[in-house]
Amino acid sequence: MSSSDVLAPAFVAPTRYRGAFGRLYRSEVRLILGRRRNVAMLVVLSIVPLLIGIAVKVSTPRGGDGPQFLGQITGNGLFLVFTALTVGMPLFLPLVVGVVAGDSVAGEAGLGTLRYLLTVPVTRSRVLIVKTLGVLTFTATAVLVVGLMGILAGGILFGLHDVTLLSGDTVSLGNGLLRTLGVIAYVIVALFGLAAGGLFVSTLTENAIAAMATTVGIAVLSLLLDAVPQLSGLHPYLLTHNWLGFGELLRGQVDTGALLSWSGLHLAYAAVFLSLAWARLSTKDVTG
Amino acid sequence: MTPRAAMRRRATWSVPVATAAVVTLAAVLPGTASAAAHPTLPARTAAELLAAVQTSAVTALSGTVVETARLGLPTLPGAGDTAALSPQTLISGTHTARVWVDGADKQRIALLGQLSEADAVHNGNDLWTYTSSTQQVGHTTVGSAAASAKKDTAGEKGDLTKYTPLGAAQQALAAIDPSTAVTVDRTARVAGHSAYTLVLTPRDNRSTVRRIAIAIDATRSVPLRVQVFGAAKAAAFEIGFTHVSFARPSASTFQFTPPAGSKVSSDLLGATAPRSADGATTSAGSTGSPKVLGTGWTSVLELPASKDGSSPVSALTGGSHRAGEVVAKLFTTLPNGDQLLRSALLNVLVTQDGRTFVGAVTPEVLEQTAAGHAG
Repeated sequence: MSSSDVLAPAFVAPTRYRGAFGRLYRSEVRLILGRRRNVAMLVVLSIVPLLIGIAVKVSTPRGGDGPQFLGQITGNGLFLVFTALTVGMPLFLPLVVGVVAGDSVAGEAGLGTLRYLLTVPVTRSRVLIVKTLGVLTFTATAVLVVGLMGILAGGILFGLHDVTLLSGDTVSLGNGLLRTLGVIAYVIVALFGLAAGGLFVSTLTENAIAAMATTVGIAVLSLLLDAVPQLSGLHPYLLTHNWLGFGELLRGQVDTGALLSWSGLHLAYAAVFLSLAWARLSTKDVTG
Repeated sequence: MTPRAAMRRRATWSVPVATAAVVTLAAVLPGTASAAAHPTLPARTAAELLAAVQTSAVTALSGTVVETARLGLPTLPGAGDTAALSPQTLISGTHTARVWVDGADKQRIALLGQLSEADAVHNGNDLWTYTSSTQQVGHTTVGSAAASAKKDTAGEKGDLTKYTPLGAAQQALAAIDPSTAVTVDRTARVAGHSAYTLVLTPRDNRSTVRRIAIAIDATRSVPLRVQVFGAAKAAAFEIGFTHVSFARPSASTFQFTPPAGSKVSSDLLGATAPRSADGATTSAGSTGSPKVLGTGWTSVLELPASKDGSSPVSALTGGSHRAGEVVAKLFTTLPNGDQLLRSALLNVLVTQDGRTFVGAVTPEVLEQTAAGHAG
């Protein structure tokens, strides 16, 4: 007799208790945001826009050099947000998301706490939903930290003014802030695909470090494939290809169709990874 | 494991498989299922199509244009993703632009980079250019004496439609002469529109152009795509709409006010072309103006030597040393000392005295032309 027969209760609906799901979610978020490692990562993220801002304040960059938008920061602090996100998108943000997503299930399995988690009166599917929401909450927090620190630091160091769009048109600060919110929302959605990938990898192993490394590896592999010109046919479907697509929100006429289709791709990745994670967790032998 | 547990396990794992299948279908279907690749349209002769294009009533449109060059040339260093309205970015790879057209007086083209954009706005007498990466603004008055004196600026003619499939089609149609066979090929779907395909085939085999296929919107007779084929199976050069709307763009699209704090220069290309490391633009003075030699499909463009003796090809490199090295490697030295660059469509001959001959013709034609027009 294999152990999975014993553990089949994943399919037996446990007795429902009111509010169990909400309590589980709150406890998950408290666990993630309370962990000193995760707080340290958020602090490092918040330093990114601050460092760029101070560097630009100390030495004004020459036009055209360095990351995009760098030259515009001195004229308008709002561009600090876009510079920080452009800098953070290929490495910092995926790293942070990868650590938390990779750790979410594997970490508990490794510590042996996953079996206790599965004894709470919610189904494994709901445990996965809570895990997903927890990772998503952290992802959103991470992006918001960069965005808000960018606005704060940019505003204090350079002041916020009317925004010159990529097309050379100028819009009011209010319109600019609205677009900034859109940029932040897009980045959160863009990272969701990777976060879901991390969750799936996390259900495969009890070694949290391996899951984190694999998750970051997914992003790196996608970035590498994106840099090979011979694979250009594949590029539009790569996880990371449209990560910087938020530039669309900074054009005079925003192509919402393009933004929606890129977001759709990230959500499609998330759907596939999450269903894989669900299948894996539902059939997993939790012995450790 | 009991058979029931095994079944459950299989049922569980079929969920992600089904999800992946649905997602893949959703991504692939819109491109294929919307309509047949070759829609059925009432038959029209080549002459009818030509006449329809000339008399098309469409004056306003907007859309997304994708340009692809497969000349077999490498991407030049510094000419990567950044949006810049310069030839060096357009001779290799794929580029996307948005275009808005409202008659002959109002056009706007925005060349898109992921986080950058280069715009050219024509409105009445004004022609503006803006490059987001350098925040440089260029401005000129179209038709003024100063603008027409500067031959190599876009201000020579304000009409920007020549950089769209419409302009490319016009150029191709203008090349029709007695040595051109004009035929109608299978219909096509371009940017979601049914289109006729007009094919121009040069009978002169000294041209490297094997054929030019022009897709013409079936109802509005607007050229939607132009493909130029060389010897290879894939088009060597292609420009076409991926999305097009025939609604009149709003007037504000063509209003351009230089952003606060930007530098406005009268040099349009200086505003958009990438600068070399020392900040100098790369319009080296030349001893004469470009000339078109020959006629029809075998015509050759002659670029005179520049004053400092360097070839005009160096202008393509944006003055960058690395780009210069890449370009230098593409050239082979002929027995008589001239330098020849062969690509899938265009060939370039640089003579020892620094003159440059460019044409979609065989190298032999270039050499004969160079010999026949000794500087």
